[in-house]
Amino acid sequence: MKTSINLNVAHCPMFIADSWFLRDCVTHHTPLQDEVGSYITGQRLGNIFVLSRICAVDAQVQSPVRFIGTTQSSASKLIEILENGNKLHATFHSHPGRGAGATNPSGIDIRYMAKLQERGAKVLGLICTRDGYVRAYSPLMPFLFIVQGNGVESVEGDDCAYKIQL
Amino acid sequence: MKQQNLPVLYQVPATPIVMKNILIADAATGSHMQVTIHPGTTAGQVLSQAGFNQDFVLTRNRDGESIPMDENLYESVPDGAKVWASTPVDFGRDYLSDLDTGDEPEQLPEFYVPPFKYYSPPFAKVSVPPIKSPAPIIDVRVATSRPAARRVIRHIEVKPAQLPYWQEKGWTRSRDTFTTVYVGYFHSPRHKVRGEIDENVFSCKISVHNPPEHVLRHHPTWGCFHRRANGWWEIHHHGCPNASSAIVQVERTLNEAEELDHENLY
Repeated sequence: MKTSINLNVAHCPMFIADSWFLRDCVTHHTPLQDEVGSYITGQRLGNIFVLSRICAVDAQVQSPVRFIGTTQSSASKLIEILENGNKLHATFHSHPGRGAGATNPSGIDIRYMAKLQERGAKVLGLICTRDGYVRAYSPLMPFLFIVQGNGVESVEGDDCAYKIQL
Repeated sequence: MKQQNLPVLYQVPATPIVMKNILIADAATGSHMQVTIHPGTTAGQVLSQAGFNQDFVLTRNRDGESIPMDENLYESVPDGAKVWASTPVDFGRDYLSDLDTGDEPEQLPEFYVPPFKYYSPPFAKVSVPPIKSPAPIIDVRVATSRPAARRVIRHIEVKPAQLPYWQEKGWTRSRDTFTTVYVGYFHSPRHKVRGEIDENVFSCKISVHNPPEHVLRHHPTWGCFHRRANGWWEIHHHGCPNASSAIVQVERTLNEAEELDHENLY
């Protein structure tokens, strides 16, 4: 079966990820109890952004409630993304706790994302917990987030959160 | 052939100021900006005048370390060079988010922005349900891969600040035969600390009055702070050639200590 999507329909950036990739992301970002953060990039077709690659950032500060990347590693990964002809699509990080509620972005998360979006970056924020909940958020930019594949269900009463079967 | 005597030039014409053009690439967006810099322009001045937030830093290349804010960019980069502006990844929880009560606290500190007001504006709703198997295939007729275009979106000219940093920060200066004494305040987001800097030809003696010990204690350079009489502390900072650089160093130490203190609390 073939489904077609009219590219002109997407008036706002449309981010697409498959459940397999999100499962990998959850595994990558929850090896221990500390938070882990990284950049996500991938293909871009017009206003459609496909999330397909994790670019891990080295930590300068890392604890169960904080992740600050090193200046050098953050810059290096962003430059690597651009040098390969891609752009930054999303940031991904883990939160402590369990359930959809634990994926709510903090003030620090929102400020960092706003800092990127203020400069015109079409970047989505993603947060996961170790039990497989993933949330998309964006302080300043309207967006659509589509998850494709098996083993994923939306959280009832929460449009921005998904449960990935691990 | 007989060589003619050339006239002697007694007056050397003034050397014109040679400016440099550099390209700043925003590493998050991929956009470029052409910047003309005057002699003496520092990295910090370029970033602030190019409209970058104070958290941004400049980097020469993928493997290079970030360029210090006070580095003379005019001297250190060649004409036509490309530098990258980026900000380090920063995620975490602040203490009010951790309360997780769902209610808005009555008194909020200035820096706190309630998350629910930010991430759920009406337009930022996701209304597309997850797509079940069989997975759809996006039918795109033309899917040519295009290299990221290098577009110069604007051109600005950055001039070095006319005032030295100590003067910008409102410090006062008095001189005697051997020493120049600067008096003023070190500023940080949470503190204003009285200070005195004795600058002589060899070094700077930095003194602070009643610094926030409980905050500075977390900083790796706390060992450089030595208690003196009447609430004064002397700081042994190496490599401060003048008062401006000493003020920058101490304010940076205060900033970093406050950051560390904040992390230790939460």
